[in-house]
Amino acid sequence: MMMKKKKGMTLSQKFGHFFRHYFVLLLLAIGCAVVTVLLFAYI
Amino acid sequence: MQDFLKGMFTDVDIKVLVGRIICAVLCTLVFFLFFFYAKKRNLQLYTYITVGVVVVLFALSFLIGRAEMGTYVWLAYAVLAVLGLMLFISDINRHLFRLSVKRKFFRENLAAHYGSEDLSKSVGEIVKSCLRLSKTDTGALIVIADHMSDEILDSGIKINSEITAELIETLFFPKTPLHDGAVIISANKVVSAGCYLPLTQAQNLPREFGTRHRAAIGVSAAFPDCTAIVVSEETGIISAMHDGKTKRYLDSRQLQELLECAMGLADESAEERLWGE
Repeated sequence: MMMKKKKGMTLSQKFGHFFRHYFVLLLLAIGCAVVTVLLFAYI
Repeated sequence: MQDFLKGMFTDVDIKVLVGRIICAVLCTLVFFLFFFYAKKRNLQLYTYITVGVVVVLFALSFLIGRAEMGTYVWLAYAVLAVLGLMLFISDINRHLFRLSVKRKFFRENLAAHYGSEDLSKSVGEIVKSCLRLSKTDTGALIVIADHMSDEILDSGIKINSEITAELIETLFFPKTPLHDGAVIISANKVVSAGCYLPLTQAQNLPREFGTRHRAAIGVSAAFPDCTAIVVSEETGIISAMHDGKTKRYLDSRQLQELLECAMGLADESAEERLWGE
């Protein structure tokens, strides 16, 4: 008898869950990255 | 400043622009990774400091001038990067280990090699041995791991035997040479016994946790895919540790569920229900 196949959330559900929880952090990271690139282009 | 910002997008070569976009994407990933672990570890102060430093440096650079600020900008970013790595390197390490393809391959091989009946029988044997050891207040430390470092395996004595309750009880019988270390179970076998494990240095553990419990927490934090079962020598209480988390006062049903997860018999949702995300 083979082992049970692993179940759980689908990949899109996992992504949605992750995105909802960390949306603000993602925005902050994008902001910091854009500012960093501008800063290093300037100096 | 306005001229510089205009020049960023108008007078620039397409290759340079693409390079900057790639840099921005990579920076976003790095910042997000650090902010993500900062949130996980409840260290949001790191996020606030990083955002503050980036904004202040940006403002100062345009106010004071590029020649004066260049060195300080590099220095500040280096400090932020080193600080982030120092704080979150263990989490990054753990997640990389968890995501490693090796583990998936191992589980698939295990599934193909051993049927669920064999694995269930082994779970039953471990539960039986733990309950008997608990009744007699015999200390025990059993680690179930997909992949254990050779350093730990070599610290004990190789056994490579079928999992039976009698063998496990014999290995933990007091005043025998192997009873003080950990028994490592991997690939549906008792691989090694009398192994030395890394101890956790955490200070916020219950007072009744001795070296055996510290070793179990230490190994579960170092190898997040493993589950350690501890039978207390003083109280006979059965505890389980996984990914640095602890579950205490386990009865036979709970122990069986945890072991089924550890041996790959339960699905991911059962693992999340038992241990949390």
